[in-house]
Amino acid sequence: MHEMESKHLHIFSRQIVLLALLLMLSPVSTHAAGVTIEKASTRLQNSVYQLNANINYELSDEVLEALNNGIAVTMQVTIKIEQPRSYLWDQLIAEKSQRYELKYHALSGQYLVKTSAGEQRSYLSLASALRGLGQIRALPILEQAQLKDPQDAMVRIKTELDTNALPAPLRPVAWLSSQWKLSSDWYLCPLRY
Amino acid sequence: MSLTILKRLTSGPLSAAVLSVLLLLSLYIMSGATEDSASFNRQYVLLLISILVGLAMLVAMIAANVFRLYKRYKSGEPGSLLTSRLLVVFVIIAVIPVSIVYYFSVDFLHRGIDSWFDVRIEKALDDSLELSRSTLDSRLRDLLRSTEQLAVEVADESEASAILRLDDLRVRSGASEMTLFDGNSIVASSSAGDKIVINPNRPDEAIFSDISRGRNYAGLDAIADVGLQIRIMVRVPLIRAGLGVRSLQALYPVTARQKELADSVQETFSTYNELVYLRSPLKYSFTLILTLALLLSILSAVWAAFYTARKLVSPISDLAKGTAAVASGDYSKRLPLPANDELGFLVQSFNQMTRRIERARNDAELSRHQVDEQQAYQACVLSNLSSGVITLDADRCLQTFNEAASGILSVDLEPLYGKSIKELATLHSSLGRFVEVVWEQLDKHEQWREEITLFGASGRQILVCRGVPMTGALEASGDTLIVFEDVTTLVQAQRNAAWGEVARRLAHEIKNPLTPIQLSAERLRHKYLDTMDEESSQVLDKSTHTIVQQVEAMKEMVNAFSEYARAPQIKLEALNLNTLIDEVLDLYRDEETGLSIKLSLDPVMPHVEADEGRLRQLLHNLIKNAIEAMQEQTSHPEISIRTLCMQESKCRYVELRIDDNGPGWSCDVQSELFEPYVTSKQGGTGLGLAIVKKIVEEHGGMVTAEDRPEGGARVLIRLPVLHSDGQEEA
Repeated sequence: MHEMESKHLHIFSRQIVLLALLLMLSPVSTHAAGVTIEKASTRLQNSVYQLNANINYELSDEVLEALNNGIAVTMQVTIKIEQPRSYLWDQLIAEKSQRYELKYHALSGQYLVKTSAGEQRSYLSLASALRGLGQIRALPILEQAQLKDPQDAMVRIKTELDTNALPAPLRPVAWLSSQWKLSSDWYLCPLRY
Repeated sequence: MSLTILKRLTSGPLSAAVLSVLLLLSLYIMSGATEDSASFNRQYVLLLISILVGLAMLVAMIAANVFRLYKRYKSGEPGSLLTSRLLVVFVIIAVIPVSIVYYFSVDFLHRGIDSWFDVRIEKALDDSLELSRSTLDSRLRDLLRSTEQLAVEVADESEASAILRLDDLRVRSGASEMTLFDGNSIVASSSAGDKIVINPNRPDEAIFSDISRGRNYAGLDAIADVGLQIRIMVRVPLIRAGLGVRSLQALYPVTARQKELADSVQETFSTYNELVYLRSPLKYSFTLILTLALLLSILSAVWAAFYTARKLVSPISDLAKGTAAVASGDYSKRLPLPANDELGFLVQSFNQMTRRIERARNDAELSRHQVDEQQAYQACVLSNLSSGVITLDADRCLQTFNEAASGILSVDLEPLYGKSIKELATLHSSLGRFVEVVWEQLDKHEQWREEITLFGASGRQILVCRGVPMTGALEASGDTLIVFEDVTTLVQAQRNAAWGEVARRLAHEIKNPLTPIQLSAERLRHKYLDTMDEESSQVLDKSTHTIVQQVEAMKEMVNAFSEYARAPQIKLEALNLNTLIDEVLDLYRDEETGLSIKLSLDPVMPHVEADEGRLRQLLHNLIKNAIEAMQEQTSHPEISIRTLCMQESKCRYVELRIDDNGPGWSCDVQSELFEPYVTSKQGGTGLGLAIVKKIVEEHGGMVTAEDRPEGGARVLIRLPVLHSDGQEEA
């Protein structure tokens, strides 16, 4: 009971400091839910760099509730290929973002995952859907020709819940609530071939 | 510089109006964004942030205004109290209705949103979903059974030969796609009708693990591009070893009608569920927008209240400042015209009023200045006049006087200003005569001229006094102008000159023939006395004797005249009158006339400033005169001489009184006793008293003669005391 109250209080106070929260760029969520990139690697296949990554998604209660009520939740994976420079900031060579829309299909009781490329898969349970969502296999990110000096190039990966893809009424709530702030840290791995 | 700009920004009506309009616009856009989710993604945040920043700016502007008002109130600036009162009224007028509208709007909004949803609709949707499922369930069971039989048929097929069998089975069973997975869940072979299946649909991994545990799968699958399909997955019976746990997946299409209905049910259910779920966020969003709108309205209203109050009050506070300035005597203040309304009219009238007052004051000041100048001019003229000038009002009180007046009267007239001239007489008894004469003359109400003789500190004074009632504009006031002049020296000089001339002529005309007459008479006598008979010689002797005697007498008289006319230089020195009297009287004490002399000398006798020889002559003249007068009629002649030091107001003088018990002055000469040629004695030259008077006047003294009440004559001489004498004695 006391815990709940403090939690409400916490949320309430956060809502009061509206502006401050909106301006916060990387709020540190203390919630158990979160997104972590466990492993990521690239390999060169047919002159195309492909990304393999394992991402662990743990959705918060609010997100789960929304998902089960038919709200599509979109996860956005942002991939940046950068060339480090000793004298200046790193040079951005390419940027790619991949969106995964997770949705509950009430009639079949399945979870559907649709990628931005249009590919759709269905899962019997949320757990398997999240697992499937977290497995990025052979995602082409860059053609070899685009890269002049692949020696030092680094890949940055980040995944986050895209609140802008949510239905409009939900958006203000999503912006203000930490439950909706699902975002991983930047994961860094070398671009290998 | 930047501060003033900031001030102008925070107080200017334009900036606030622009800000309010922008905020309103963004609110409008934001409410639109809530409706249309697709177009406004990023903008929504930007808008929200800009609205909040705008609101914060409004709040800051209001706070700045409140602070400024508070400062003005603290410093007691006029109008600040009125501004705050107006402000409070405006704010109350604005805030209360807006708040009421807000409250009901939020309430209606919540109710409105709630009313979209109905439990029965929800139930109906749930039921329709359930119905759809159960409708499909029976078919699923049939298909599962038939697929299990098909799996038996595939059981003995090798992976290479399975493809033909799969085609056959697919056609037979009516499946759209049929796939055989080997023991490692890898596609062994697949059949999908006419299409060449490159990448057959792969089920969820969880199904594979179910299969391996011996549980077949039958379910509806939402498959990309195709839509809803029935997926059946069964374990292929193990006939030959080495093939592992194989599984057969068959995808059966649902009928177009069924698909359509199921999709519709799914879509509606999903949408409705989403809406139900979004109910509270929707309320939240709308409330947020409404709250922002409320804040915007209230803050704008408050700001407008500030602006309006200030606009309204500024001419009033200007007026207050202007009035205060006028009250403190600053008429040069002009107020800015606020507008062409009643307040503007008021301000205009105020400006006109101050302008007129200023002009009037300037005129008054100018004329006062002129009057001052004129007065100063007159005062300068008056003070430089040698004549004394005073004016008296109708009540005979002192109105104006000049320095010469004070000087001539030897009185400081300043304390007597505005007081009756009678006061002058009571304060300074020496001026009693002056006041008396003036008072008498004033009764006549016409121009007058009078000569007044005073005896004061500086001795005898002859004033020529002229009084004129004021004429012209001042006639009604009944004021009188009195001009007087000290003519003492002038009169004396005139008299001296006149008598000197008389004496000189007398001496010249008479003295010259006297000697030949005397000589001729003596020659006659000398030549014919011896030759004549006794009778004739007696006649001659008597006649010549008489002639010689008379000529002698005439010579004496002429000498006396010439002495009078001589007027030698007077030598003034301090001397004691008592001692002098004693010395002179010594000469008369031895005489055998039986004269008794009574002396009463003031023991405290100050020195007088006088010529000793002249005073001696004066005493001789007076005593001789008295003795001569008494010889004729009195058997016991008596002279009493008294000296007295007297003080009258500030004037200190010595009084010498010489009384005799003779016949006294005859009434007909009393008024001209001291004029030459006036005598009551037979054989007197009439010059004795004239000389006395001359000497007294030379010493600045005064002489009077009167009859004693008990008989006899009295001469009173007053001589001024040496000014420094008081100190000498002390």
